Amino acid sequence: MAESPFVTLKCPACGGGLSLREGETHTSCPSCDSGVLLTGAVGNYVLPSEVGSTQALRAVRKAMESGWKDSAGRSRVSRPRLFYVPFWHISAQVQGYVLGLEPEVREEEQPRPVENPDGQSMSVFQSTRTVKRRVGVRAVEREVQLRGSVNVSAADLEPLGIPNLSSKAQMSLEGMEIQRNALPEGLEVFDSRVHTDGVFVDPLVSLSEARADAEEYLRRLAGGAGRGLEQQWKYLVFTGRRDCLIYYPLWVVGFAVDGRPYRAVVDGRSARVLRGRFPAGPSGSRYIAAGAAALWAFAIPPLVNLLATGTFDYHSGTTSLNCSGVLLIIAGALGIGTWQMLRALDRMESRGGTRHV
Amino acid sequence: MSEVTGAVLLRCGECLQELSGLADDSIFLCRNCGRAWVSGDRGLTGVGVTLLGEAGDGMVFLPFWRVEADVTLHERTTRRRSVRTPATAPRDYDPLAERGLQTESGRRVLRSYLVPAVVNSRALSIGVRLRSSRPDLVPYEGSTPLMVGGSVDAEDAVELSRAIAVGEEVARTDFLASLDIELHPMEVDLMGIACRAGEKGFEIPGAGIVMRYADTEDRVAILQRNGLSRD
Repeated sequence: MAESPFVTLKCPACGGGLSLREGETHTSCPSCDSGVLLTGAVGNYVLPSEVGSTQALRAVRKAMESGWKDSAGRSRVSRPRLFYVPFWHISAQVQGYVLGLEPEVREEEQPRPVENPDGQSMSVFQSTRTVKRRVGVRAVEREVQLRGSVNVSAADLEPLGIPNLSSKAQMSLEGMEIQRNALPEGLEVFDSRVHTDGVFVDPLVSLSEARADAEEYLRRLAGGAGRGLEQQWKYLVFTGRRDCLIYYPLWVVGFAVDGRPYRAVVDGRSARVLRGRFPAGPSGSRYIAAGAAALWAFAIPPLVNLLATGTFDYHSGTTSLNCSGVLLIIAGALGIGTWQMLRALDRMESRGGTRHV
Repeated sequence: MSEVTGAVLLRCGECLQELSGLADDSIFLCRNCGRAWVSGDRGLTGVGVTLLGEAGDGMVFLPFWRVEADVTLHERTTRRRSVRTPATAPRDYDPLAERGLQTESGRRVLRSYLVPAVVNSRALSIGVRLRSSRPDLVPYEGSTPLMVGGSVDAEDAVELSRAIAVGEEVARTDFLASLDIELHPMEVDLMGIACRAGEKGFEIPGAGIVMRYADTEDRVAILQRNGLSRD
């Protein structure tokens, strides 16, 4: 976690302290008014949380009440914690050429053999079918022009149940304002004097790793220009890179039901419960109850029949066996199975997907 | 947190005049002495600059990189415009001829490339067109003008020059199949070209080339700093 994101530097002209905000790359000295350029600076931005702790709690309680009403009454909720998770935002332009061959296809009508009504002969004059035939190839030269931006997770979000964004991941983050490509609106330059609430998570993914990741993603995107081409030859260049770090707000709400801990992650922008571990919901208990009922429904009739007729012995030719022991074992196993199911019902945790509250 | 490696004065290393630019600018022109500076990891480095064109109403000086390079074309393979699928009759199998491929090799030339130093999504096609149009620009005479928006570094300019060299080969009338090309930069310096802020974009005089506003990332800030606006 970040201890002090504030950067202290001295003015190269007068030696006075510079008051810098992390996101700035140019500034002026408050003492001598000299323009100062910060070399190697990366703009840091923050998307402020629009959700307070009470709203985050309310969102979790609402989610519980909609699906886990019984548990909601027994839950003890701890104080929500606000985390700002980092994402690299990398934009670059991809330019180049894709050369190749485009297959030329001609559609032709071909006679289709149909059996005559007499069943003895075939006719090729009654019906035709359309056949596509490759007749050659055509040389193609395509120019690639793409200005793209990519958001790459700068910290591991998997422990929170949120999938990481990387060049390999193609999914969107449901319920979050930050997505694979889009830059959310409302960004503010990060200023440790203003943005004091919450824990700012340090980026674990380096800028060079994120750049390589973004480049791979953009390369794949630009490769689409060569779709359908054979014997491809590509020349792509990446220029005009611009990078910044964006902190996104997430509330983590911990709560306990019957002494067992659970956790929910609430989006700091929309108050949606993004991910969470909740006690077993009614749908889960319904499935288990149905399973137990079906098991007993199959087992009870033959057992009652055996008890009623008293035919505990099995006869086959010269062999005669007393099956009462086996039947007792089956009944015992059914009893234990049902008991285990009821325990599982009690323990079951549902790992919910995104729930819109 | 990102690490700020240092703070350097945004002042001309020659005359100490304060330099100004847009938020993402890495190229600065001193309006006092006319020296150009490029910011990098080790602070500001001086770079040669030539100003071209004429100032006037609606004119905006934009930075371009001029890359003098030694270009070696090792192998250039072309193909025919179209190739029919061969008939089933017996034939001598020649894979190159069947695919319509022809290879030529061994050409070495000295070339000069002009690459926009403002972020533009069509920098490649602009560079190729600037190579073929060769605009005849007169040297600028007058006080050093304002030149902002330069954020493409020299390294990127060399990369783009390579792509422009490929683009020139693609632009030839035959159909390129593949290219093995090598480009060694010999001299990289800046050019400030007076462009007309037209209806649709920045027009490069004498070349008939328009850098469309839609393709230029910092268009609004460039126009604003030059006291202009285009909707």
